[in-house]
Amino acid sequence: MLDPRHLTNIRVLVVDDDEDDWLLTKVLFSKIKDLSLTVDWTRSYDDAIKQIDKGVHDVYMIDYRLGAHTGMEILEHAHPERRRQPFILITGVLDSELEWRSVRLAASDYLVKGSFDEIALSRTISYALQRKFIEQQRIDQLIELNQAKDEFISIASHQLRTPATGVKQYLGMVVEGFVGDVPKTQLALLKQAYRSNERQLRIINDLLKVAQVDSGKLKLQLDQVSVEHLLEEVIDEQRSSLKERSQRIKLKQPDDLPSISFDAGAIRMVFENIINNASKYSHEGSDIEVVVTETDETLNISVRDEGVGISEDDLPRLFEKFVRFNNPLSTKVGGTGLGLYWAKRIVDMHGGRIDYRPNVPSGSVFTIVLPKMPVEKSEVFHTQYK
Amino acid sequence: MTTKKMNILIVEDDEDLNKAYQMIMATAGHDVSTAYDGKQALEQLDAGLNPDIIFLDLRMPVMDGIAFLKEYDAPSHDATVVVFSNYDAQDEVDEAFELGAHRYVLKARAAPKELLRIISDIAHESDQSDASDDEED
Repeated sequence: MLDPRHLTNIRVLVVDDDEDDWLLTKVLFSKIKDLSLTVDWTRSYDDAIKQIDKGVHDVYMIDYRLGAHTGMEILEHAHPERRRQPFILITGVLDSELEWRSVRLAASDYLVKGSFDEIALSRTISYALQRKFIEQQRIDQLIELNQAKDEFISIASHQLRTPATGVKQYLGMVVEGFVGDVPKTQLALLKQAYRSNERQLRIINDLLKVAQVDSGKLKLQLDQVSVEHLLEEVIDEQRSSLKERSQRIKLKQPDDLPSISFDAGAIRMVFENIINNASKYSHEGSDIEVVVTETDETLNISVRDEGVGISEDDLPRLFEKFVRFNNPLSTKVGGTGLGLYWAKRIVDMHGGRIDYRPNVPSGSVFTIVLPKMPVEKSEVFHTQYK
Repeated sequence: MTTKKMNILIVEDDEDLNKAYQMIMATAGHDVSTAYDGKQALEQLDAGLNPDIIFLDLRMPVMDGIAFLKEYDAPSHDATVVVFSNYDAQDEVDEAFELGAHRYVLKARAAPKELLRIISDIAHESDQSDASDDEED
C-alpha cells in the first residue's frame, strides 16, 4: 500500500443508485482543488462488487441504499479484516446504529448526504487514506510479530524434539528389557517416565504440525483414497486404547462409497484426532458411533460420543489455537489445545469444513465434511485477527 | 522369529540418538557402523563398507540426507535405505523416496522394538528374494 502522500492521482469509486444524488456529489468532487482525483461512478451493486474485486480504486464511497441491496453487504463482501482501501459509507439520514454497524465492518467514515461540502469531502478522503495507511502499517507489524512468534515456536520445538527422542530410545531399551531385568517397582516407574516422554513428544509434534500449517509450508498430497478403508484402519488402530476405557465403537457406512481425492496422511490424522477426542472426553463404558453419509457434493463423516460435550459459551472458541475448556475430564486428558485447530485447518485446505452439534442427551457430534471435488485453497491471510 | 545378522549403517547427527540406535541394534546382534552426516557415510561406503541397511536421518549438518541420496545413487546399490522422518517432513520423505529410499520410520514413534521389527522385516524380505533368485538360477 502506497503512502497516501505519494499518491499523485486518487482513484475514487462512488456507488450510488440514485443518479441525482450522484450528480450532486460529482459537483462537490469537481470543486476539490487540493487533491488530484479520478472519480468513477456505478449505480449497480453487482458492478460495484466486480470493480471492488478488481481492486483498481484507492477509495470507495458507498451509498447505504442500493436497490434490493445495501452498502452493508458491500462492506461485508469486501473482507473487513484484510482490505487495504478505505470504504466510506454515505446515507440519507444520520442513524447511530447504522454508523456503529458500519464502523464494525471497518468503514473508515460515515457521511450524511447534504451535510458536507467539498472541503469536508476532501478532508474525509485524505484522512481516510492516511488512517488506512497507518492501520495497514500496524497490521503488517503485527503479522511480522506473529510470524516471528510462530518461527520461535517451530525452532524451539525442533530443538526439544531430538533430546526427547533420545530419552525415548534409552528408556525404551530399559523398559523393553534390552539390558536385562529390572525390579518390578522400578520398572513401573520407568514405564511411567516412558509414557510421560511419549506425551512430551506428542506435544512437540503437535506444535510443529501447527507451525507448518500456519507458515503455509504444508502442501497437500492429493490422491484418490477410499474413506471407507481409511476409517476402518483408523478405528482398528484405536481399538486397544478404546478397550482400555471399556468403550465401544461402531462404524456405519453405506456400501459403494466413492473414492475421493484428498491427502490421506493428513486426513487420517484428522480422523484419529476427532475419534481420539470422542474417546478421551467420554466416560468409561460409553459408546462412540462413526457414521458416513453422502450427498451429491460431499462425504460427511460424523463422530458421535456420549461424553462431556461442549458448553454453548465455549463454542465460539472451539477451533481456536491453544484453547482448552474446563470440563470434568480436562485435567485427566491433558493436551495442548492444538488438535482441533490443526484438524480444522487441514479440512479447510481441502475445501471442506468441520461442523459441531451437541449430542442428545449428552456428548458431541463432530462432522467432517469433505468435498468430492476438493480444491486446495491458497490462503492469502494466514494470521487470525478478529 | 530370530533375525539373521545384518550389516547396518546408521547416519544420524545427534550423538545421543546415534549411540542409542547403535546400542539397540548391536544388542540385537547386528554389525553396526555409524556416521554423523552424509559425507562421513559416503566416505565409509567409498572405503568399501557394504551395508544391508542404511538408517538415514534427513536433517543433518555438512551433508543432509537428501544430498547424501543424490550422491549415493541408492537404486544402483543393494542396501535398503530407511529414512528417519517426522510428521512435519512429508515433502522431504517424498523426495527421499524419489531418490531411492525404501522405507521411512517416524522418529518420535519408533521405540527400540519397532526399529528391530523393521530390521527383521527387511532381513526376511531379503531372504525371500534370495530364495526366489535361487529358484530362477
